[in-house]
Amino acid sequence: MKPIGSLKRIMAGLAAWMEERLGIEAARDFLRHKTVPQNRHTIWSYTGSLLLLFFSIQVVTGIILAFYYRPTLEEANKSIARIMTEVPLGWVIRSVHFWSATFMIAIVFVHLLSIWIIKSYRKPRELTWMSGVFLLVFTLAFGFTGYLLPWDDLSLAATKVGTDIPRSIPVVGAWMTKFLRGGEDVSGDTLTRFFSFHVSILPLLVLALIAFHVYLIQKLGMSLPVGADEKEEAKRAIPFWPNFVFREMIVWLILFGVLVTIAVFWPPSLGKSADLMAPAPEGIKPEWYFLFLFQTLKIFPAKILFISGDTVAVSLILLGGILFFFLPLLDNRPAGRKGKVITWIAFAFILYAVAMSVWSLLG
Amino acid sequence: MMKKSGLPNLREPDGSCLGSPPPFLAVDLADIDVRESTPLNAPGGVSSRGAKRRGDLRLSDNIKKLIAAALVIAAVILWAALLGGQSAEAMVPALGANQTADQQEEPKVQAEAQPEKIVAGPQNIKEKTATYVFLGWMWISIGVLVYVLRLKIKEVDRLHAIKFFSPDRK
Amino acid sequence: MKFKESLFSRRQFLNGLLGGWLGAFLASILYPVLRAIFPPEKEPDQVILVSSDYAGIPANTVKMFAWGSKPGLLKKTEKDELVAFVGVCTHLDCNVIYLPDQKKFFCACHDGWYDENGTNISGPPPRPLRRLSVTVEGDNIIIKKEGAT
Repeated sequence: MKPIGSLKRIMAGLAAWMEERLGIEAARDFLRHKTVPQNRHTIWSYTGSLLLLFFSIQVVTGIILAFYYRPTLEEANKSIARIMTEVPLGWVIRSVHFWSATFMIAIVFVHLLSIWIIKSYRKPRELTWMSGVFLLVFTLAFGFTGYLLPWDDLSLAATKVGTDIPRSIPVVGAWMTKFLRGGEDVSGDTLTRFFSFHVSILPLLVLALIAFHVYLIQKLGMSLPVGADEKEEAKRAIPFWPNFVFREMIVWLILFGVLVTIAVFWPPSLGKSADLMAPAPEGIKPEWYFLFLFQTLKIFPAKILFISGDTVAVSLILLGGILFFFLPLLDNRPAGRKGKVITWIAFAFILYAVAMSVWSLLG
Repeated sequence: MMKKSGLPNLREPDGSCLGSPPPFLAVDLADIDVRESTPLNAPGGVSSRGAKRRGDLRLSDNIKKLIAAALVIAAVILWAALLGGQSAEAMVPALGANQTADQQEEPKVQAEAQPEKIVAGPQNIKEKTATYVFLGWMWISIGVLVYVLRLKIKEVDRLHAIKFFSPDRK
Repeated sequence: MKFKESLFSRRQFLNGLLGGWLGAFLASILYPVLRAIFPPEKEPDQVILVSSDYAGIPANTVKMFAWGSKPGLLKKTEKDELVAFVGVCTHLDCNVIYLPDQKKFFCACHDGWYDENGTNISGPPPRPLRRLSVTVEGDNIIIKKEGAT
């Protein structure tokens, strides 16, 4: 009995010593009092924590892949082949990384559209939305840069097309393409550059933004449905810990299971090493989440009046992005207003994206 | 598929607030009213059984919503997987054609005889078995954990409903 | 034997089950991660050298070969026998060199010395150099782990 008693005393003393210096009690106190509203919109708040789950999976599997990956022209493809055939369970790790990225991007879209439609971005949550738009862009950038790293025919062609698109932007376009490629053309430098983006620049930016985003959510609390009675909502809210976290864990566990199962049964394969001089493979298509943008670019004619069609298309897409970013400032009505037009725009966007993706696949 | 399960759910909130509430919002509110009134009506825990049952009702309602959300997300993921799979499928024949064209023109470049495509998968039968055993264990674990978590949710929700920690709250 | 009341409450049981199973589950996820982080040692089972490449070496000299990613040292003794060592110091993994005039192996990192049979004689090395078995079969010299047949 005695040694256990003294061990307990030591632990208590250590905890007190830490507490005196770190002051974690304030955070724990905050967590004890944090509540989550329970209403018809609550289900959408599970998407946020799911994103954190998939991001963590990306970090862990990504670090393991980076242990074996070599970002050079000669060795990129070979090192992935080695991960898939020699490293114990390397194929599973790569497959989980691949599928977790897909899941993450899919959930990013659900997360964002749900917030758009239930209008959680309204005052005072404008900055949460704006940081979220940046997170979306960085997530897509993760996907785009990661796609090149296996350095097979597909990834080379997709990168050539993808990095050429900014060229159509007036004034800064050519400079942006050069920045992305590390020169005029896609080359070995592009590969190392994308690797650097993928494993150091983007993670740093995303981590900082996630911290900001989550901080704002803690500070401002969860939004309530348009026109909700605040007192009623406060009465109905449940504690974050443990009531809400237990619910979240159910969703995490199930989706983790789905992820691993899919990853085991449909691991991504690897094409032969890309040849910079070879003609592009036919019917080249980007990753699924870029399909609708890809198709949008395709439907524009080569020339509209005297401007090139690409410039018009890219400018329109950029304009859409900017409007999207400033959505909370454009729709700055009081939280009680419904905002039907905004909702219909969201649905129109979903319809457009789905239709364009299908068209791109069939066409 | 995404639209079928996602849209009606979403359209509801917008039309609902000022007009007549949608049916499942009404259920929600009525449910909450009952739950909130329970501790006041029965401070001695006389009707605690009733409170428990109502708590369960609310919970199962919540689980339903959870499953609905999971379905929407699963539908989106499926959609994504389909799109991703299809675009990859579309590549493969094109890739093959390209390869043969290359070989005719420049046999020297292709002389290294690299395999056209490396298909991922278990490296040996032992690994394959281990993978399936792991999947089985994982799903059993998930089943057990979800079951226990549901019991725990009932328990903590009941504690919350009877304001068990109320001195702690302001 | 029957207890009048249960030893622990339902609550404790649920908490234990949840925590314990969750812990076991996480540990089982950690296993494949660790497998991938620590790949198995890839020491070769055997290395086959062509005799003619090594035929001309004089007695009391050493010629190198690759033993996996380590240097292997094939030595012709003064009795014209072939012996092989893993040319890595047993102290802190530096590669050693053979000095024919002194008939010693020398590790420059921490001034470690081995005699011509690979026995540690001076300096910090705790063990003799690792020996490999050498057999000559026709035109090939086959080098295996010692003890392997």
